[in-house]
Amino acid sequence: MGNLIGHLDADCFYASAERVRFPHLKEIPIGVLGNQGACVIAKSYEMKARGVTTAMPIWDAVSHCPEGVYIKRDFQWYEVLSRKMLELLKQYSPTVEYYSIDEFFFDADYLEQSFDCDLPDAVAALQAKFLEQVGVPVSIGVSTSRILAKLGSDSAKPYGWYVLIDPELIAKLLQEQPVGELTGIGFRSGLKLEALGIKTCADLAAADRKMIRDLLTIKGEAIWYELQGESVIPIQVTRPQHKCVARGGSLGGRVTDPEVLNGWLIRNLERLTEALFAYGYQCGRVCLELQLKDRTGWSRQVLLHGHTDAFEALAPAAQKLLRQIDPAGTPVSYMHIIAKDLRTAGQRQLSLLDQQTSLANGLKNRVNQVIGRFALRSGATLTLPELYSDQAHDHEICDIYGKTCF
Amino acid sequence: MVGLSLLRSEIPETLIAQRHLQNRLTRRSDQAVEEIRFLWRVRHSLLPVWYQNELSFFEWGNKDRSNRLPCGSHLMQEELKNGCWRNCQRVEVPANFGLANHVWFHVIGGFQGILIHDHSGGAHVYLLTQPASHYYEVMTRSKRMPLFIGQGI
Repeated sequence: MGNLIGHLDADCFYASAERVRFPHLKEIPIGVLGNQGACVIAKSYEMKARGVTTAMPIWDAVSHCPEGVYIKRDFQWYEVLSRKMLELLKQYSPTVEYYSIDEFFFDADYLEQSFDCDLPDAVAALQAKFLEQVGVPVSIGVSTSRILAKLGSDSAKPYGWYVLIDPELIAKLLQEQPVGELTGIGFRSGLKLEALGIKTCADLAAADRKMIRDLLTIKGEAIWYELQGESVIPIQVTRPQHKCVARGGSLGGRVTDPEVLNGWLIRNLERLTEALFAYGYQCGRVCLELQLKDRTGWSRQVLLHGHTDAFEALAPAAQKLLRQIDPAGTPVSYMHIIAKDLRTAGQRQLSLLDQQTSLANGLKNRVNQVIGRFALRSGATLTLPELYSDQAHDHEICDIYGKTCF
Repeated sequence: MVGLSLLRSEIPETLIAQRHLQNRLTRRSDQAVEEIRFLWRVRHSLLPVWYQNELSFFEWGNKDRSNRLPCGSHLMQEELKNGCWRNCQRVEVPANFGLANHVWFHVIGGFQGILIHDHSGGAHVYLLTQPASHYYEVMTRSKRMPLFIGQGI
């Protein structure tokens, strides 16, 4: 059978990754906490069974699961295992999409040949290979389209697999799956569909295609085709061009000190310029988004003098935006710096006021590549000593490059 | 911090029997590995300690007010640095899990403690503490945290 697409998804990946290096955590309810220690960002099935959900504050989680053990997240380690999974899958498929840190789409046509057995046995053998060689349990779905393949792996969890070719089995799973679970059907699209009585994937598959296109545009129509088993969303081996690149996050509390705020700004900017360099982008606009007290949003942006990825050009522009907070001293709890109007380096209009990365910054980048991230950094970040004393803060999930999704 | 736990497999069976640690055995789920818990709130609170290259068990801190040693389970690292304590010895307290304010957290290399002898020669071990990191404070709502060995938290 040709044109088969597979979807491989690690089971509770962060928790499983911790169990790879600390085997005594097996069978223990574990919760992985975010960088502030406040919320559960991932949990084992044992903890999930006790009612703990993702993004639950730790104090609620502790009341649900007092015997649970909480662990600080370590994206550097998770990336090691993620890339190991990617390399292993490439041994069995010539076309692999690195969709997210723990999810992969792949051309499944070669599985039978690779394992020298029929497709169901080959899928089971692939699953066993991952457990043996990476130590992470995975679930796998194989079908004729991406969405059906993902439906298969989602329905098979934990540690299961589905080959979705039989129309009766497909119809059964479509009936069981709420339409909101589909990738590409967000909250608002779900409401629109629900208003028409479309609640399950089977309802969506049975709906009129043109009506779905009118309601959810061409993206909704693509989902409709995929649910019929027609592959219209290809496997992407390279990441599509970004619309924007952002770096930032929580400041770990309300910050009012201008020096500390400037430290965060420069830290996020150093991360942003590093990302622009890694992707090969230059930006024409820079935007600063903040969350102020009472959770109110604040956003300003500025047009740059030509496209650039130079820290020397972006820093004064972003600092000028930061000074516009009115009144000065308003507490800030979240900060994001966003590079917009992206061009790939070499495909941009040159400016008379062009500012390229200085010798000092180029040297900084090279030193950090050899010694380690943030080994050399701006003196403005000295206002954040605790942040830099803990290596767990050096790597966020967005620092894992090559994924086609977030 | 009010408790810690060590995997049963890390304690020799002879020591478990000798120190009557069987009643401290527990599991977090039916299939999970067995742990031996050391809690401050129990009457005879003990701490595991690496002492003279051997795993030993000593009284955790001091609960006896007639004793000249400070009452409590912890000593502040700042006091040690200021020279408030003499004739004490730094020791390693092995642990796989720590407990603070009802939150169990994963421990990799154990904690730093100090061993002090009372007037009758009895050994007491206190955990050393330092101001909590932002992460630890948010996680446990504690202003102080133990000194971790080989682990940033």
